[in-house]
Amino acid sequence: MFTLEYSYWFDYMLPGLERMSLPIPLGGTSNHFVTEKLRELGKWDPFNVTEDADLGIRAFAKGYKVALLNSTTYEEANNEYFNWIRQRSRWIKGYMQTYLVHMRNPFKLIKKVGFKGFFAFNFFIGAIPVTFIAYPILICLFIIYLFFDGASIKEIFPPWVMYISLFNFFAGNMLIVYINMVAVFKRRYYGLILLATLNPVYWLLHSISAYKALWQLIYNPFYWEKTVHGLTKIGFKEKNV
Amino acid sequence: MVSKKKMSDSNKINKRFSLELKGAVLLFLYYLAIALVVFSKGILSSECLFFLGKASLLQIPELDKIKIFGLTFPQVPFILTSFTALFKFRFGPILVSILGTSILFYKVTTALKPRRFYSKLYYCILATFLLHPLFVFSAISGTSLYASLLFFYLFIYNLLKFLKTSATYNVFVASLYFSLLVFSCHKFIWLILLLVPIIFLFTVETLPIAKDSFFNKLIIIFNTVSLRRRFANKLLALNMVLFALPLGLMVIYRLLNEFYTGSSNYYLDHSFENLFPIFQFNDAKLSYFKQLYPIGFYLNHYTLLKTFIIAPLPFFYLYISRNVFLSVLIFGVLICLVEFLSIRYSESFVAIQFIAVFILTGWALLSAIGTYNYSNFYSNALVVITVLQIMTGVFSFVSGTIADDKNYINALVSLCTPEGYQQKDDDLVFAKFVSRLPTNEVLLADDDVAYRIFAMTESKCRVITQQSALFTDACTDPKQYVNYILIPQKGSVLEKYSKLNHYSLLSVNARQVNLSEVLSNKDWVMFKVIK
Repeated sequence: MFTLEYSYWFDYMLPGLERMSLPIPLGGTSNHFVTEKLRELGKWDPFNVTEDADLGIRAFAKGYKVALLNSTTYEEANNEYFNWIRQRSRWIKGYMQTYLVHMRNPFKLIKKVGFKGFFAFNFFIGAIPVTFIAYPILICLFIIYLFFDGASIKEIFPPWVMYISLFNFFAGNMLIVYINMVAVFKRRYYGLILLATLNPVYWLLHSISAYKALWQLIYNPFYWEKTVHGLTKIGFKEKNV
Repeated sequence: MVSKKKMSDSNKINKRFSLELKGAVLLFLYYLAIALVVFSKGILSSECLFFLGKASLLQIPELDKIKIFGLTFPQVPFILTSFTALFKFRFGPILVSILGTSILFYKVTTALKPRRFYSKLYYCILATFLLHPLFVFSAISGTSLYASLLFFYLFIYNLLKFLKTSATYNVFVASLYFSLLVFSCHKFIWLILLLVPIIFLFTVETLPIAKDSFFNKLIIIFNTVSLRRRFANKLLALNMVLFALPLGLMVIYRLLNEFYTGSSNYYLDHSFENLFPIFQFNDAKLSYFKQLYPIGFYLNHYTLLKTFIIAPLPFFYLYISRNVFLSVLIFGVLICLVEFLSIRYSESFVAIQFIAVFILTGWALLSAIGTYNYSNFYSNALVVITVLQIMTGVFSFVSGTIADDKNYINALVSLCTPEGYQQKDDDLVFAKFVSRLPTNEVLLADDDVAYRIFAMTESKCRVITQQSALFTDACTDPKQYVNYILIPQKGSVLEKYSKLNHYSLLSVNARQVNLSEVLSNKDWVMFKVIK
C-alpha cells in the first residue's frame, strides 16, 4: 500500500501540480536547495512538523518555482501498524498546522499566491485532513442509509443531494483507486495492481491517524511523533536467522 | 549544419500542422454551410430532436432535473449538446456535431507521421470527410455519431500505440477514451470481450524470453513458476488498467440508476432516457421495410458485405499490411464485433458507427503502426479506392432503410437540383400550435414520446409531463389542472410507449369531462378540455 501511495504521489500528483504551476508541498526525503534562497525564505519552521510542505508554500508565495527531477529516491516502507499511525498522525498534523498558519489571513494569502494558488492550497493541503476526518462519518451514514432504511437521513437530505453524494462516493473512490493502479503500472509493479482496491480500507487507517493528529494539534501541537526506521531490515534479519 | 536541418524539420512540422488546421477549419465551414441549408429546410434528426426535447425539459422548474440530466443516454453527447440547447438554440446540437467531426479530421491527420505520399494520403482523407455521406451525416445531423467516431478513433489509436511502444501514458489515455466511448454508444462495451485475446497475445510477446516462436514462449511461461506468476500479474494488470475504468463507471452508472429509479437497466429500457426502445425494429416494421427497400433491407442483414460496400478502403489497408500480425488481428476483432452485434441485437440493424470504425481503424493503423511499404502503385490505388468508397457510400445511404439517413441524403441531393426539397414534418404543425398557446394555459403531455414536439416548440405555456409531480392528478382530473391534452393517435407506433393514450382518456371520459378535438394527424391528437 505504501508503494502504491508513493507511486501515485510522486509520479502523478506532484508532477501534475508542477505542470499546472501550483504550490508543491515538498516531499521530505530528497529536496535540494540553493542555500541562499533557503535563508531568504526564512529556513525551516522548527515548530511545524511538516516543515517541508510549509516551505513549499512559502517558496511559491515568494515567486520561486519548485521543479521535479526525473529520479527516484527509495525509502523504507513503514510496515508496522502503530509505527505507521505515528508517522501519519505527524504528517496530517503538519498539514493542519501549515493550513492554519497560512490561513491566518486569507486575503493576504490570496495576494501572495493568487487565486489559483489559494484554491490549490485549500484543496491539496487544507482539504486532506478534513477529508480523512469526515471519511468514517460519511461511511457510517452510507451504511445506515444502505442497510437500516435511514428514513431520518432521507429527511435531512433532499433526493438530489443523495444522488450527487452517491455519484461522488462511487465515482470519486473508483477514480482514486484507478489512478493508484495506473501509478504502479507505470513502475511495472504488476503484482500490486489488485491491492489498489484495498485503498478505501487504507483510508480508514488514515482517518484514525487524522483523529490522533487533531487531538495532538489541540493538546500537544509541536510534539514530533518519531517514526522508527529500519523495521524492514530487522524483519529481514529475523527471517534469515 | 545540424541546427539548419533541425530548423527545416521544425518548419516542415509547423507547415504540416497549419495544413491540417486549415483543413479542419475548411471542413468546419463546409459542414456549417450544408447544415444551415438543411436546417433551413426543417430537417432535424430524431436524435437531435431527442436531445433538444430533453434539454428544453431542463427549463421546466417543477421537473426532476437530476433525473433528466443524469440518466438521459447517451450521456456524453447529451451533456455536450445540452449546454447549447439550454438557450433554446436549436442549431446547438448540430454545431457541436460539426465541431466534433472537424476535430476528428484534425486528430486523424495530425497523427499521421511524415511519410512518402503524405499529401496524397491527406487529400484522400479530406475527400472522404468532404464527400463520404457517413462523415457528412455525422457532422450535420446533430446526433451522437460524431462522439462515437471521435472517441473510438482516439481509443484505437492510443491502444495501437501502446501495443507498439508499451508506453503507460497511451494505455491510460486509451482507457479514458474507451470510457467516453461507452457513454456515447453503450454497445461498444462488447469490444472488451474481443480485445482480451489481443491483450493475452501482447503479454506473451512482451515477456523477455529468448524464443522466437509464440508457442515456444507460451510453453516456457506455463512451465516456469516465476514466469507464470509474472505473466499472470502482467496480464491481470493490463486488463485492469485498460478495462477497469469503463467497466467500473458503467457499474456505477447502473447502480445510480438502481438507486434512483429502482431499475439498473432504466437508462436503456425506458423510452424517457433513451431513443432505443422506440426505434427498435419489430416484426411488422421489418416486413414493411423488406417490401419498401428490398436491396437495402438484405444489405443491412449481411453486415460484413455492408461494411465492405460502405468502407472498402480499410480492406485495402488490411491487404497492404497483411504482414503486420497486429493489424490483421485488429480487423479480425472488428469483424467479430459487428457480427456479434448483429446476433446479439438481432431486433435492430447494426448502427452506422460500427461500419465507420473500420475506416477509422485503417487510419489509426497507418498512424500508430506505420510500417506499410508504400509503392507508387499502392498510392495510386489508394486514390482510386477512396473515390470508389465515396461512391459506394452514397449508394448504400440512398438504398438504406433508416429514415433519418434517407432524409439527409434526399436533402443533400436536392441541393444540386433546381426544385429543392422541403421536409414535411407533421409534428411541426403541433409544435406551432403549442407555441401559440398563451402563458396561462396548461398542457398535459407525455414527454417520453412527445420530445419531437417539445424540441420544436417555443412555447411559454406551462406543461405537465410524466416527470411532474402533478402528472397523476392531472390525468385523473384534467378539468382542474390542464387546458389541453396531447396524446398519440390511436394505432400509431408511439401509442404503446406513451402513458397517455386513448385508454387513459376513457377513464377521463368516465368522469364526464368534455374534450373537444382541436388538431390531429396520423401520429397525434390534441384535445381541449372544456371547462
